[in-house]
Amino acid sequence: MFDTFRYTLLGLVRSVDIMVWSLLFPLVMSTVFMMMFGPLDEMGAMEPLRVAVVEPDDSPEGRAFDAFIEGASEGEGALLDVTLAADAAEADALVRAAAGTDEPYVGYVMLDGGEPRTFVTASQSTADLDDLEASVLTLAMDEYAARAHLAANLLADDPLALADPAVAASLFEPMQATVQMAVTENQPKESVRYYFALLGMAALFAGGVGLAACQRLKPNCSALGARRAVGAVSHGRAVGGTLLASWALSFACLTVAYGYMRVVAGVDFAGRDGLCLATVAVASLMATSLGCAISALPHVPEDGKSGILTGVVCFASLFAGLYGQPTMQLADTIATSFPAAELVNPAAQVAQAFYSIMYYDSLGPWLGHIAVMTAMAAVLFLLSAHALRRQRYASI
Amino acid sequence: MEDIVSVRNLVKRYGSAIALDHFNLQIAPGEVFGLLGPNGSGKTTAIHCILQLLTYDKGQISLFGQPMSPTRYDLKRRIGVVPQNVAVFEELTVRENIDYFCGLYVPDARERKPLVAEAIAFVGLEDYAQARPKKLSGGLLRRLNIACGIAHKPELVFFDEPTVAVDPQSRASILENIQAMNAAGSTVVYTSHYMEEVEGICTRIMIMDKGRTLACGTNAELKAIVAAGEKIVIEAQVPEAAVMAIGKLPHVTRVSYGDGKLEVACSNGEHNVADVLAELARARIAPGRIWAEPPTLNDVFLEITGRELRD
Ligand SMILES: Nc1ncnc2c1ncn2[C@@H]1O[C@H](COP(=O)(O)OP(=O)(O)O)[C@@H](O)[C@H]1O
Ligand SMILES: [Mg+2]
Repeated sequence: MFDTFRYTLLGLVRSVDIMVWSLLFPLVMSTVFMMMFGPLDEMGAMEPLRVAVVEPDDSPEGRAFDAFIEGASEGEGALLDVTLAADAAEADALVRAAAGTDEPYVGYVMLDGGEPRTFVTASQSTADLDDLEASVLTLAMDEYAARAHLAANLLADDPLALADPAVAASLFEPMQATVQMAVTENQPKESVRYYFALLGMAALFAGGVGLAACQRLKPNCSALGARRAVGAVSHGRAVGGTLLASWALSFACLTVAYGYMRVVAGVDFAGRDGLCLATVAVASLMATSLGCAISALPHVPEDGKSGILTGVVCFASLFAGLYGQPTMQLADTIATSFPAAELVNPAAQVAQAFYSIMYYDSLGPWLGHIAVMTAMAAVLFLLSAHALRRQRYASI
Repeated sequence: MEDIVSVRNLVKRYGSAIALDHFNLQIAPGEVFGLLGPNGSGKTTAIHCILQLLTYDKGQISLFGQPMSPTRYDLKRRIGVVPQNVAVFEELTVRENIDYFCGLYVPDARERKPLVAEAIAFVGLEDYAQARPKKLSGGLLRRLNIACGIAHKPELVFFDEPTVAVDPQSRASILENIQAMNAAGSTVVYTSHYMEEVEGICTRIMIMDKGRTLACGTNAELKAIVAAGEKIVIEAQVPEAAVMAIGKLPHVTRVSYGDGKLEVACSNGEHNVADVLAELARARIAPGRIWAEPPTLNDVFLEITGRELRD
């Protein structure tokens, strides 16, 4: 069985067309997505916003704002990088002086009548990131104003309480998270879906590994299969070694694709690598079973089988939303109107499993998709069982 | 001695077409047994049935005196197969291919190593051990095909038309290999539609056509079937009428003319050559070279079926 495994694997790894589709293709597509969306890690983990702040006066509002600014510029993952200025003129001068340098300010902020006012510099470059930073700063200050208003109303009896740093922190700390979420979520969310859909497509293309391995194993599919069948290795071991090799190679290819997205494209998959690898393992098993099942189709020549696999891959990927915004909407529409269509779409299941890893803390949704994929693999293996068990043929 | 291959009343149909029609085959240990028949006569089908790749409609197959089945791995271990079409892994090197196929019979990799090296040397592929099959010429590919089938030193080897589409040099080397294997103790079953090869290397020959055994015996025994006569060949320009006239001579069983060569098959007669020459003289034809040949297997085939072995 080990020899079957080893040489099957070696033969597959050296097959150019198999490796192009199972390994190279997902990498190329990831690269294309990267060029379309830009590296995601830059957007996800934002640098603190450099901002000049006019030192607030010693009123309760001023002290509250001071406490907020301090909180927002402290520690790791701080939202702001603050430089204090005595008055608006100095802040304005600071911002102007730094404009066009390596470290420009997003703008400056001053408290005016108890409410923060934000002055952002006119965008020097057309880079989206600058606009984004300006709007994040504005957003943060608007949030502050809204909460301060709310707090002021709530604490109308005792406005001084706002000056207590502990109270201020409890009011404004969650806000920082809200603002950061707004940054990380909105932007990359849609593009991450492309990567998930791509993993779904790559998983199905990896079915080509199982297909080729089965074609080379079965006497009625190839002269090589016929020759191998007359050998003295038991049929069960030959089949076992072949399936194991197909699964291992699919797993390796998908892992490389996953690693590439993780490291190079910067999709962080919520840092849950273990779950992701488990998903890759189950997806590879499903891919192998798909290849076996297609190989088991009677009266179809080898090229026809490859064509069928390609057809399945493209069709399934369409409904997994790989081909852009309109198809994602189509995928969403179908998912809501015909849940069953998504249930039987292996590419969608893979994509959804990764989506669940990234966006749900609970393992429930992910386990659901894993269960569906495992069931699919079982059904597909069952469909190919007869063809795989056979040793004698009416004609070869 | 017990037969190493025994096939009785084998019937194999492909749909409604009958490929083997009560086919029988008995081969004793130590033979180089030739299965001679034109394309489509059922040679490959017979081998595939014996090896249990194909189901069959009727018949008994025993190897080494024991009934054969797809799971008789103990019997399969003693057999080598060189299939009609080259069947190797395209992506593996010559050495890896031989090691893989040898590994189907010899699980221990260390034990295999010398066997693989020996097989490579045996077929003369030392310079190509690291090459992939697509780098090999047709003849070398055939040699690889053979090495993959025999590296484990089987007791019984099936060669299915191993010399088809092979250059003369490789062909000679392949035939030599087969004889060397036989000398080393292997029983060989050799199929071909080239009678010269079969005549050259086989201890016994079966002639088959349309799934049936037509004749079986040693080379000499088969030729004795052809009315123990001679074949006269004359180089001359012979018109149709004269060919017809010669065909009507007593003792002449068959006459054919082509390429400026007149071939006359005769049964036992006292003065066959003289009669034919007299007929030519009557038609005022001056003969060129004249010689007589013993019958070939093609004549045997022709005698039995009325057709040429090669179409
Ligand atoms: N897979 C098949 N399906 C239908 N007929 C076949 C098949 N294989 C062989 N035959 C037929 O069976 C007969 C014997 O073929 P084969 O055993 O290949 O002959 P040989 O090896 O002597 O050339 C031929 O008439 C051929 O057309
Ligand atoms: Mg044949």
